[in-house]
Amino acid sequence: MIRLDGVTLVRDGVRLLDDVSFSVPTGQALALIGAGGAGKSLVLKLVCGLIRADSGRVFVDEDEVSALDEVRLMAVRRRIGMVFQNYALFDFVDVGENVAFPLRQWGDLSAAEISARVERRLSQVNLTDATRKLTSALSGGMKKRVCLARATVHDPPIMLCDDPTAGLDPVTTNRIFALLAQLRAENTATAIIVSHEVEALRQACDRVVLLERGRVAYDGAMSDAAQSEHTGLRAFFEAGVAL
Amino acid sequence: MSALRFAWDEARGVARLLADTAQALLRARPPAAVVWAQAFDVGNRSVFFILVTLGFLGAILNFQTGFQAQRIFGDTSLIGAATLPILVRQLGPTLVGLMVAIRVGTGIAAEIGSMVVTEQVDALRMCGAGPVDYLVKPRVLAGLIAVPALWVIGTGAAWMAGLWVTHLAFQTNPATYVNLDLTRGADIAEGLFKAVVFGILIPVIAAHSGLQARGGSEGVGRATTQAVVSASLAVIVLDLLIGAVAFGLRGGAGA
Repeated sequence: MIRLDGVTLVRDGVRLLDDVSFSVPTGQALALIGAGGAGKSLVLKLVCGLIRADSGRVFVDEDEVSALDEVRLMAVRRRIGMVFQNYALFDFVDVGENVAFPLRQWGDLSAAEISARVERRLSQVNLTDATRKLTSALSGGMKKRVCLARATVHDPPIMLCDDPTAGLDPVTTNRIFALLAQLRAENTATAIIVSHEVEALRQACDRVVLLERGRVAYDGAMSDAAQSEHTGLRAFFEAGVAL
Repeated sequence: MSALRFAWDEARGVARLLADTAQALLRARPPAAVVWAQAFDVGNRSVFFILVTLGFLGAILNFQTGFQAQRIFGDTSLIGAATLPILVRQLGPTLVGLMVAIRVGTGIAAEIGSMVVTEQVDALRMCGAGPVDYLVKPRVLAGLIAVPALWVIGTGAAWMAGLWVTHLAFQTNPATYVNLDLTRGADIAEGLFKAVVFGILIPVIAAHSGLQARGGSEGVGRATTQAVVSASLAVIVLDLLIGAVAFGLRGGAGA
């Protein structure tokens, strides 16, 4: 379960998030949509404690992330897999070591087990041949798949995906969403997916939250969203379908 | 006023990072192989630069000292004995500190800064590796090993360059130049202490600047400049403070 209660974030006098509240029950997938700069990525970073809110509370299961110190946050982050918008792949190691990195850091698997898990995950994302390549030698789509593999290699029960298909072609986009669905199904993972791919989000998510200038403008079931009279939501869905 | 405020904020940030690093070191030590690789990197990156700069500065110091000694006393036999303690406790650690701040501090700030702006530091935290544990701790231990070693190498190079230049300029006998009579244990202790302090502080200051990087490549550039300015200032200010405390502890110049 993920819950935000009245979260406000102010930077340089600007309210980037204003009294944001919503929750994602265990096992559900939430589509977090909105125009660029609405605060979607900030919400994901708040959930995993990478940034702190000025007021309000953030919960991941029973843990109040907004009140934990960095050492305790590590235990919460272990339950989360994060796909970063701009990949955030480590440029000092190859693809295989990028994927193995969280497993080596958590330190409770043998080298053989880590190697087997990395191999399995890389084969799921069709990147077995790229294991020894440096990330700088990969295309955008390949980088996204490495990022997805690294985020999910430890089978996290919570997945946060920040625009996992940004800038990708439609075929790769479909492949990434299919992978996400498969990996979620394997772990019955709770997920928040930020994306502008309306059709893919409709298939993948149970609920939708629309952010407008840092405020929650709509929060409802995905099945009701298409029929909603909410202007912003209609505009988003119609533009997405037209694309 | 804003410059003072900025300096105060910087000092507080560095002190906090230093305390976090000390705590992280007490929790767990980084793998020895990582520390040695970093220490080798720090040493390797700086040794040639230090040999050249301290060699030349040692030659200049000894030449000017000899020039004055010859003019005033007409005797240059004590140049080596007189310049060695200055090099050991004062110029050696300070110049090595400045060179390491320029050569290594910028590298650390640029590396960590670019990791911050490409969200690699956030990714590290998501993978269970805190930036202090993973990035700062090994570099501080590496500085602690490499800077005292560079102090020995740099001071040796400066003194030997002095031997060569005094022999050429004043025909000073090398056997007369190599005179340790005026160098005390306290001089060595002061020089070593400074090298250790600089070895710890330069990586912490550079890492702090890197971790503060915001935006894109412009932010990394600003962080790098900030690192070299802050680290150089810290070396000079601490050099004076440690020197003054050591002077007081020794009970003056005669001890």
